Amino acid sequence: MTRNEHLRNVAYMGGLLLFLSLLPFLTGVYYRSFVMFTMMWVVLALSWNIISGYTGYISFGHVLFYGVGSYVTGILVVDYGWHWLSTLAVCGAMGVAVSFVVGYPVLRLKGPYFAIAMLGAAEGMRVLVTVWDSLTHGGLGIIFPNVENSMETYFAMLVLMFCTIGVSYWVGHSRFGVRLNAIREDELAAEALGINTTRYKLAAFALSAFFPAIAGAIQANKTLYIDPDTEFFILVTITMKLMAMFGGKGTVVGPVVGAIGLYVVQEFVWVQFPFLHLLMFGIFLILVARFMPRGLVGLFIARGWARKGMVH
Amino acid sequence: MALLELRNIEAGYGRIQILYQVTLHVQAKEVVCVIGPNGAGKSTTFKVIMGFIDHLGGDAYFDGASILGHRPDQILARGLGYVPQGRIVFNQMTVRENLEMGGFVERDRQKLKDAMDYVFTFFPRLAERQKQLAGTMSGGEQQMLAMGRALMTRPRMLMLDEPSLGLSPRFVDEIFDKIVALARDNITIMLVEQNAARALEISHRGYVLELGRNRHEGTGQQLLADPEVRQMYLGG
Amino acid sequence: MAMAEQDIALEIRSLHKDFGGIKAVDGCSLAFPRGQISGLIGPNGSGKTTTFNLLTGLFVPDSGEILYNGENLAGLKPYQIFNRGITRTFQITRIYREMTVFENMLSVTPLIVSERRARERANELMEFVNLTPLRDEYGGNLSYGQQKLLEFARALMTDPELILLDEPAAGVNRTLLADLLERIHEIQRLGKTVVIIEHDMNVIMNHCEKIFVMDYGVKIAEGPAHEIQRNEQVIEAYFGHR
Repeated sequence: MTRNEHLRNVAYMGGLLLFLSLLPFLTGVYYRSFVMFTMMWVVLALSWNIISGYTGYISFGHVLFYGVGSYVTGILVVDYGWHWLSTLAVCGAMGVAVSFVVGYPVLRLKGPYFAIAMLGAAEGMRVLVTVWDSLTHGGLGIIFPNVENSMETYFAMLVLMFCTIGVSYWVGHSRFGVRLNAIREDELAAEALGINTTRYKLAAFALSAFFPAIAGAIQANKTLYIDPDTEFFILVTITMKLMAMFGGKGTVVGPVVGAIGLYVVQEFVWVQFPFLHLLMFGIFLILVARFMPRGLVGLFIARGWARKGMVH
Repeated sequence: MALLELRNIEAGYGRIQILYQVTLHVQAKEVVCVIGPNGAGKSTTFKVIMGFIDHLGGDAYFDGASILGHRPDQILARGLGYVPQGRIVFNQMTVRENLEMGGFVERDRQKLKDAMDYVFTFFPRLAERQKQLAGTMSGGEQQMLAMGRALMTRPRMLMLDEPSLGLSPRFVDEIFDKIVALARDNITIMLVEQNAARALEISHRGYVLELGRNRHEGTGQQLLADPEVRQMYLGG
Repeated sequence: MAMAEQDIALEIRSLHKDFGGIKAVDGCSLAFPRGQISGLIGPNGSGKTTTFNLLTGLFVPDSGEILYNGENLAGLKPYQIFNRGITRTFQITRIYREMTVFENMLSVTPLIVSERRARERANELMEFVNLTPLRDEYGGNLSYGQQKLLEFARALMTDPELILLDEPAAGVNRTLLADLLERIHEIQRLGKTVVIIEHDMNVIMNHCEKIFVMDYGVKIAEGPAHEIQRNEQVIEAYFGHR
């Protein structure tokens, strides 16, 4: 990508930032909330993409970090009286810490075994949080003090989203990202050609854990109630995965487009059919995996409307 | 009339042609070997006969009938047995189960039992280890199991693809002894081997292939003594 | 012999590797001369590929030493060996199929090296193997011969001293093979040490200055082509033992 192309993208992002900053002042609470959650899903899809799209280690338990973030903020705000904004950095750090602890053993596993291990990790954490009720309030959940913070949470999520986009953009156009792709393509060859795959995988994993943890924390402070089953719900992982895949995993634009597209469909279409919602979700997942495994971006590339490769 | 006859066979994998005008024959009760340096197309010859790959030209006959264009299981039914390269045995199954798999196409229970008795007479070691998992046996024993399995259909002719590959010298001796014993029991043998010296020692006749073409042929003894044949292996 | 005069790039001493009872490498000792193209040959099962894999860190030797620039490489991981200046290609190409040719090249340079240097080198090497027109094409869409060239060029990105080629002639047509061999000679002229494993005797006998022969996990002969071709032990190793 040329200098000019980069600058053009920055300009687009600037425009979007401006638009999104003005939006909450122009709409009511419902739409403000809707946009906030859309931005959250962009963060989640982009984060999932950093590990799964680039290195090919498909995580089936990414909600782990999201839940960790919610609970760290919950405990600090409700039990220790912290202001929620100050908890965000801690939540991010905890997300990274968990990624190292879980990642070190689990990233040695291949393909389906890694996926299942991550699923197990997320489920394990859910159970741990439920059981350790002296710390987490267990199954009762944590009720946050009622405050009007829809503006503040909106802007926190806005900043988070742009940070995530920024980091994803860097990964997606740098040699770091190219080396992550090499790990996905042929880990043995990558290792033989000088890539310390353990280090790179852990780095990508940590990056992919940081943002969801903060997203979970902001979300918790908006909805003002968390419990283990909602914060560690497997559907969260599957949704972020589907969004990234639908848009095009391994790209920057893909997860963004996929997140926005799918969230809109979900909120305006599927919610009309409360019982069929999950069924349609499942069917959609199967269709995407079968007919457009490279997502929308992949379709564009196949048609020649976008270039192959991420570095030119 | 030859039991097996190949005339001007052309074959390959997809766009890559391996065999060019390969011609050979095997008479009933003979032991014939096909030798040659790496990449000569020896294994490919067997694959064409067995129907694993398509032929691009030429003819092939077994017992007077054409065998080209047939599926491997149909070729087996004609009386051709095949021991593939690399001792492919079913690791998670016992010796007995492996043999049963070899006789899968046989419906008659008595014939199956007879076949298994035959194999056990030939390979007493297999009889001893009937219940052992194939994956836990040594290379030589696995090779014998692969041979026994091929014999379950009581073939008229047995084709062995590199039986000595990867075996220690002691097992190589044993395997070649078994091959000689099978030949004495009136089974026609065709052998592809990397260990040309050993193969020629036990063969009535041999064919030398190089880069997919016939290069030399003669009796086992003739080829053993021919210095040109030896040097061909080292590009000399 | 002329060992004292000859500078040795890499030396293997008494290497052993056992795989569940099978002694793949059984006390192998080799010394590859610096700046030359050496061949490593032997019949199937002789242990030459295992030796390569031990050299490049894919397997860890049970005992023995791999001496390179005064250091014992035995036990190091593949990326560590790579960073010391030893690179390899694979018998069946392992290029990155869903990445472009340019990305394949660029992925090899460590992040420490500047973007500009990395790109320059990538462009240079793509030019060297005539793959520049295919720069933005996916590796998987290249013909097999082009993939071989890509893998070869990719291995040279960090300017390694020692290049190990695993059956470079496998599956390649005559014309492309001549092309590849020409490139191999070119890098040797630049002072690189090359070791080739091959079954194709034409390649070995006509392009290697020194040939090492293995059988049953040990070295049985070494020397120039004309000596090896007349060596009784070598002939027997290939032709078969009686």
